[in-house]
Amino acid sequence: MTERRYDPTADEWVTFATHRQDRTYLPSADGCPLCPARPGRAPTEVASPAFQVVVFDNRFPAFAPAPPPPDVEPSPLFAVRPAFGRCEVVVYSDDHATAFADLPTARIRMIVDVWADRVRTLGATPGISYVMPFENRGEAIGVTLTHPHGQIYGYPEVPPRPARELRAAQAHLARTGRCVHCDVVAAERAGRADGPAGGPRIVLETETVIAFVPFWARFPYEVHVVPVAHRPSLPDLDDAERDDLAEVLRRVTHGYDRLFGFRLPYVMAAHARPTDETQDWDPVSHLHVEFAPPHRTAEKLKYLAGSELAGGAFVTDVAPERAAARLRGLMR
Amino acid sequence: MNHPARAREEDAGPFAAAAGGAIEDRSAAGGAVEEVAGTGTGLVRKVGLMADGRRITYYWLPDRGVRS
Repeated sequence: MTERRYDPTADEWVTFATHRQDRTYLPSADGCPLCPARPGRAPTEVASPAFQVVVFDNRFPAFAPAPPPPDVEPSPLFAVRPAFGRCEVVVYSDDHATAFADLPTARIRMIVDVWADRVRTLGATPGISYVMPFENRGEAIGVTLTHPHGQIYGYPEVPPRPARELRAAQAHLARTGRCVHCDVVAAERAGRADGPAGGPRIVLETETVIAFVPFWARFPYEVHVVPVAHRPSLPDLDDAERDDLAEVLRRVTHGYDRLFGFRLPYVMAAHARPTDETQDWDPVSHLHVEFAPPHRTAEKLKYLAGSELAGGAFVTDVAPERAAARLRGLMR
Repeated sequence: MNHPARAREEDAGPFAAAAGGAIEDRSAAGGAVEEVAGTGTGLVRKVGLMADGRRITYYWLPDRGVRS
């Protein structure tokens, strides 16, 4: 069963992909499907003896370019659509034992370029409205393959969270005439807080890219990485900005691994301009990479429970200024 | 350095070296090698098909080693 059903009570689509129940789950290194092909071993997804970065269609996709028709008939109340879209896997290296945080900056720069190319390529596909590169790392996040890799989803509409951000950016633009992300970056760089908490939240800064714990962090060690200039999407970054983004991403992920002395699980995702042409998205789109690590201490996870899941209202256990102070010293 | 292909030169692309055994290296098939626009690094890509028809794209930097 692969289909999308509309929730008229919440105005959002839910995707059903029941075949994903059968996807490969935590195989041993010898059985890793993302490793290069090796003599005498079972075939892998990448039929090459070595590679640098490779991108391929997910074997167990939530969305597909030619999805089957839905199992159920729609009604005026219960809308249903085929699960059209794209799901790609991005393998960062042919080294099974490495991780994004351990990659040299040059390789991460290459991954940034690959993301930009996939955003451009998938975004040009008719019917794709939003392209989101992301990485799930760690079993606490639900990772099923440990080989260093990320994913890219091409959605048929802007997903709820980016859509909510865009609505907020539109309201801020209408109110002030400015991009909300540009204002946030400027405020953080100026070292002041637009609220009562106060204190610096920047953890890392270059000439073109800034990393900070957001004033409104939903997770204790959440970090946002944002280009200083108004760049709507990854393909809009120039050479120097891509270099800086790669270096900042390396240092943030490396710093995360120093936080508690183990590879910190996280969700990393790039939010950017939608790829449909329903409106001019550029003034309200400002690329940012969000990190959401679930740990609040070395031993304790921040669970999404009653208030977060049922109410959508986050309660955070660590003050952003305190988290930033702790992270700042780790991101060398 | 646990992979035999690691020791190879990168100049000929990501699939230049044999891995010391019989592997159906499908990466050599598919479309042309093309430079990726907008990178300024010389990044190239090659689009091909996996055995089951899914699309796969190899990206590599011709002038850098795999560990660069």
